[in-house]
Amino acid sequence: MKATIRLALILFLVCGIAAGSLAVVNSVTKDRIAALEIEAQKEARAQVFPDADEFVEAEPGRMWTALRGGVEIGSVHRVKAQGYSGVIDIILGLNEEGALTAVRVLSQTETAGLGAKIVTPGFLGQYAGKAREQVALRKDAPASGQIDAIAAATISSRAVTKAIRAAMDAAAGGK
Amino acid sequence: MEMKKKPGLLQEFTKGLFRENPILIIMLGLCAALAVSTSATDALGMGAAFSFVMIGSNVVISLIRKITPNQIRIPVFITVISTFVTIVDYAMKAYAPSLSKSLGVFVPLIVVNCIVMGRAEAFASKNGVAASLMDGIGMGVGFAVVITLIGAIREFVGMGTLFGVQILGAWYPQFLFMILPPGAFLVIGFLIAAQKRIADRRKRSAP
Repeated sequence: MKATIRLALILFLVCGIAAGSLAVVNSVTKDRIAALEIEAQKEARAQVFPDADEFVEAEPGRMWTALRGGVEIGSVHRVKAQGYSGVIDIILGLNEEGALTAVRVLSQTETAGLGAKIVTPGFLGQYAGKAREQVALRKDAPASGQIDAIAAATISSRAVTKAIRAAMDAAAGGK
Repeated sequence: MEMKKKPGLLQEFTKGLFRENPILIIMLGLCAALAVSTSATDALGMGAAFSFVMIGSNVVISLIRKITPNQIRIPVFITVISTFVTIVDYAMKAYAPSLSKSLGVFVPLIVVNCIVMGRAEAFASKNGVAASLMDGIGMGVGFAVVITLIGAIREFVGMGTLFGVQILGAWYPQFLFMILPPGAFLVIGFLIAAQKRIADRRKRSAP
C-alpha cells in the first residue's frame, strides 16, 4: 500500500512539473500565436479583396462586408470544405457582380506535395474574376467549368471548387 | 549491438549518425520519416523539431533515472516526451508559423515516434547525463540528416526542385510517384542498401 502511494506521488510530481512548464510555455507563446492568427486572417481578407480598404464583420467569423471609402463594394466569405484528408479552410472575395475577386486557403491538411498544392498561386489564381457558373472543374462540367484540377489531386481540387461555388450560390441567393 | 568496453562520449554521438542510425538501422520513427519527407524543407524542419525533443527528453530522463521507480517508468517517459513535444509545437506555431502549417499534425505526433521512447528506455534510463546528451544529439542529427536526404531525393526526382528552388527546367516531367508514399519506401530502401554497402566495405578494409 505504502509503495503504491509512493509511486502515485512520484508520478503526480512528474506530471505537476510537466504541466507547470507547459503553462509557462503557453503563457509565453499564446498571445503571439493568437496575434499571428488574427494577422493572418486580416492579411487574407486584404489579399482576396485588394480594392477594399475596410472590412466590417457581417457574420462573426464567416462573412465580412468589403468597403471602399465607406461604400460597399462586395463581400468576403470564409468557408470550410471537406478535402481528401481533413478540413480545408478557404477565404474568398466576391465583388458586386457576384464574381470572385480572389481566393486564399487559410489552412489545410491535404497530402504534402499533391493536394497541398491547392495553396499555390498557380491553382488559386485560376479563380480570380470567375463568375458563378465558371467555378467548376473542367472535367466535371466541360461546357462551363473553367478550373483545371491539380494533377493527381482531383479530390482536393474538387472540394475547394465546390465549396467556393456553394458560397457563391448562397451569396447570390441571398440577394 | 555488441558492447565490449564502455564507449566514449564521442562514440555515443557518432553511432547515431551511421552505425546505429535511427532510420536506417534501428528503423524506428519511420512514420514521420515517410510522411513529411516530401520536400527537403519540411524534412529539415521535422528533423530539427525531432532533435530538440530527442535531446531534451534524453537529458531529463537520464537526470531523473535514479528517482524513477521501475514500475512507472513508462508513464514518466511519456509525460517527459510529450511535454517537450508540446513545447516544440507551441514554439513553432509562435515563431515559425509557415513551417508549423506545412508539418501539420506530424509535430504533435513526435510523441508517438517510437525512436524517442526507444532511446529513453534503451539508453537514457541506464546511462549518465553526458552520455545521454551525446546519444540524443547523435540520434537527432542522424534522424535529421537521413530524413532531409530522403526529402531532397524525393523532391528532386519528383518535382525537379530542391528546397523549393527550381533546379531542373520546365521540361522536366514531374514524377509524382516519388512524392506519393511508395516513393518514400523506395528511397529508404535504397538508402538502407547504400548504408549496408558502405558498412560492409569498412568492415572488410579494417577487420
